[in-house]
Amino acid sequence: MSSQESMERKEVKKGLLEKFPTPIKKLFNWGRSYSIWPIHFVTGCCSPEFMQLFGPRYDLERWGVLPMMSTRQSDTIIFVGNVSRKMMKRALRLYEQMPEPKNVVVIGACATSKGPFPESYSLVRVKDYMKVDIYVAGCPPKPEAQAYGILKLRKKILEGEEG
Amino acid sequence: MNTQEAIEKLKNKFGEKILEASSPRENRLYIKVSNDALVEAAKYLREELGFDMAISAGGTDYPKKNVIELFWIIWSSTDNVTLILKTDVDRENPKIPTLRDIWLGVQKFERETWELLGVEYEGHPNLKPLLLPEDWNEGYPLRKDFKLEPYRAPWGDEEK
Repeated sequence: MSSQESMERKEVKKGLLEKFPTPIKKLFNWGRSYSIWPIHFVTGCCSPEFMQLFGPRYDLERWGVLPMMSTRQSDTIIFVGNVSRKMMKRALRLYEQMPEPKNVVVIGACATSKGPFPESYSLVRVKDYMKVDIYVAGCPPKPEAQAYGILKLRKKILEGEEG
Repeated sequence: MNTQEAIEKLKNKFGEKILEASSPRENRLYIKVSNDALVEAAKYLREELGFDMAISAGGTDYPKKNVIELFWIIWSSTDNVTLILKTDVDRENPKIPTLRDIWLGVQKFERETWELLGVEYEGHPNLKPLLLPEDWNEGYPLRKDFKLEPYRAPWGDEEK
């Protein structure tokens, strides 16, 4: 990776979907809301709580949330834990690789507002670099809270409010 | 090897160059050398006294004394003694010969100390940023006079 790669804020582009009439948009959003395929950008200690979501107790696959390994086939990026400035360059790369329309979920205090490290020279806030749809508060948030956040995102997609 | 014997041997060999030497409890050895005798002392510790495994290295900034105190933590696998080898460098022009030729394991810790405290290890083969971004030019974060206020995250939602 070159050191000159820009770290400017990424704006959301209006996708092809905007040109379609409302019923088709609604149908499309209905389909999307049942197939949130996230990639997870797990860099911190919220991750043990996050892992529970795909275990037997919370099991988000009931709502079609399937954790993906490939950025090219996913439509949501979930930030779990603290993101340093060096790591943000890599995260922006992943975000650019994802196809439109795409959503961002931020879990935990560190990624939301630098949390317990407000004066850190190294951490950054995710919202300075991309449009965030859902914040989940907590340090760390319980698995119920994280599942609730993802279900909120699902509702937001269904109502066509996201992006 | 007894730690008291080791202190005696070091004092006989280096004399005034050993600034402090103590062993507050069994299996611990604290030694502070002046920085011009650092490499010879390290070689002696490795070859004669059997300290062979590098555990850590780092430093602390003391602006009032105008020094940066560097340390290397070395363990002896034959005697189960942990050595903390310390030395002072000038804060304005911090230069010290590297010890990676003696203990290879300290190479990455010295690289980290270089980027966070600005100590230049002469003879180190790979002084590049390790934890900070590749294009970092905002100073040395672990020095006491590094200002953190510009990095403070604002309260509230300023996007509205």
